[in-house]
Amino acid sequence: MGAALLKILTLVQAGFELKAIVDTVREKEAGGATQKEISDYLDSLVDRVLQELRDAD
Amino acid sequence: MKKLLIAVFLGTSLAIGGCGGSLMVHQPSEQVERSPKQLATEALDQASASLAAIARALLNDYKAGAYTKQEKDKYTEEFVKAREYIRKGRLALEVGDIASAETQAKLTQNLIRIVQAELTKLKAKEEGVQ
Repeated sequence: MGAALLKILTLVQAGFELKAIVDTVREKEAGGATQKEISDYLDSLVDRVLQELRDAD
Repeated sequence: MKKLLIAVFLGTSLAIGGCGGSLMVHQPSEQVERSPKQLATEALDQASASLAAIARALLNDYKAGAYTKQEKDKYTEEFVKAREYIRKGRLALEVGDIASAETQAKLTQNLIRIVQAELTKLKAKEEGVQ
């Protein structure tokens, strides 16, 4: 049950993570960031997380 | 307790909704009409944000012991494929191929949905639910 509960929490947590990312994007937009800058930010965020996933033992 | 978890789970699944759900990355603008290129860019941004979110959540929960290394590596491989779709979509936009960019965004969304479904199956299996 413990691991199963944690797996449910992964999906719940993904929702919270997405909300945090969206908030950051909206702050950047409000600060005048261009669409290209937003796209670059999001893609580099994905790259960083994927690298961390690869490196995790 | 179980019902509450299922409700939370369903709500969250709808929220992240494979990236095309209700939580839009860009602030919807009613006054400015957006070009097809802008819409395709936003679709790719939405896909990228969803991918970052689910990958970050998996990473955190792997560190907390919710997944084996084998499971983590399997999903990481799927996420790398999704990242490649986004990269191809961005390249397509650069050469003005809007349709291809939209297709890559959809492929990313579909892949994230598949991973979500697999996570759900894993959970059900561990709980012994048929």
